[in-house]
Amino acid sequence: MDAPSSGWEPIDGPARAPATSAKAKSTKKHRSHHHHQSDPDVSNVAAPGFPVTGSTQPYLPGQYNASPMIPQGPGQMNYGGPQMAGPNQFQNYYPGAAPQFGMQNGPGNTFSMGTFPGAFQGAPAYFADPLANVAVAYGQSLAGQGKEIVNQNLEKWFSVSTLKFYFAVDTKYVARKLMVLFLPFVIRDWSIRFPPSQCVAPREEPNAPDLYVPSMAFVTYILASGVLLGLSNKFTPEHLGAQASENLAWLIVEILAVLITFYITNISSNLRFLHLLAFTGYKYAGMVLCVVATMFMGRWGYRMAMLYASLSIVWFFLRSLKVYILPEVTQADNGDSGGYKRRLWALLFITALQPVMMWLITRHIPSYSDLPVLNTTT
Amino acid sequence: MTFTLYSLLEAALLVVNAIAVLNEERFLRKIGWGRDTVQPGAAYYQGGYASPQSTKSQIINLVNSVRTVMRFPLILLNTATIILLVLAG
Repeated sequence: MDAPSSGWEPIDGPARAPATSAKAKSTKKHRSHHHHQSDPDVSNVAAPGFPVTGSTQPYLPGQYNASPMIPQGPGQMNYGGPQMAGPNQFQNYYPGAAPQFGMQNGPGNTFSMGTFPGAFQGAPAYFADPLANVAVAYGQSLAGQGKEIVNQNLEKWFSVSTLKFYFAVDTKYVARKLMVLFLPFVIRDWSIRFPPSQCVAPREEPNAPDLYVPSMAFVTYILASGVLLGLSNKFTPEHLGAQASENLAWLIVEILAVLITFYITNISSNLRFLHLLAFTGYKYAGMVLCVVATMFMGRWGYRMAMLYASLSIVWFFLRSLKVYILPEVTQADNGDSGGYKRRLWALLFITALQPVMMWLITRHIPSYSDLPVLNTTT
Repeated sequence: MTFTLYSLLEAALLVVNAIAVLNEERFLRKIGWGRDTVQPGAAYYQGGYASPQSTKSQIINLVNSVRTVMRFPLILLNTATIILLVLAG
């Protein structure tokens, strides 16, 4: 019942059978202003069956478990939109799940064969020498098996197939997310229209967490601290690596603290490891602001920026994590009636951890605030 | 002061060592954190002392499981760290 999850098969455009390519092309055309032609495998990820033009259906409870014929294996994404109908639509979005429908696409469906062990990934026959063809095909099957093994081993730590959901972002989402991070009091609607346990691409749901903004903010912070050091004539190339590993270590400490908090207070939340990684990475945007403020306004700039960044990240956390951690009023409680106070404490602890970590990591920044290169003093 | 990944490993090793040296009889039972307060059917538990879901019983379970699981690997890890620090300063 469980198909092995290797959600990394590319959806080959030209190799698709003509019966389904018309459907795929029509949905592609509707959203062609959202993505470039260069990343075809991300554009079809987790889209609902209806064309997305900015208005999505609100989440009505009871409609999501009605999606037919998707068995919940490990790493399988149950992405049932409210208007999913018929198995034909799934083949465009679930390359790993296509063989379960009895190969409805026919012989032209190369991407469904990737889940069989040792299958060829559409090996092209380039050479005239048949022995070379066999060698190429064998090498490709070996590569496919190696990828399967790596994926299955990584699956124990976090679900690899849902990893690409977190990077399916577009410009509008990134702009909105940055505005949410820096000006959280402007945003009125924090609700998530899909159930929190389900994987949803951030392109469809503007309040869902993603991993693109945190990783970009992380790298920007390291580079910005390098620039600040350079302006003080204290830059060495080792600084970049040292900062990166230090920040990574603090991130690990923070995620461990959050996980132990969840275990001790015995709350079962919908926050998975990747969600936690995303949320703890959002504070790096505020830290970039602190570094830039130190560059231009010295120590007082750092203090004001730190205060503002702490307030906004606390606001952001409280509004966003409320959906995940605190039980909703309409949801049936699974036995822990006294759990509300514990969950509240856990949420407050995690939220208070953020400004503390921000201060801890950027503690050394204001010492570089007198910049002999620019001749500015505090 | 850079906080490298190696310092993280050292700190984690020290914390796990600290958890492992907590003596069950002489210390934990004296402060009411003994293992028998969370086992079902124990004398304390009859009076509803610590329900299995409470924070305290989770911490006690965590401490006990860390001590049970890490008793043997800690010997190896400590020996390796001692040798490493003696050789490398």
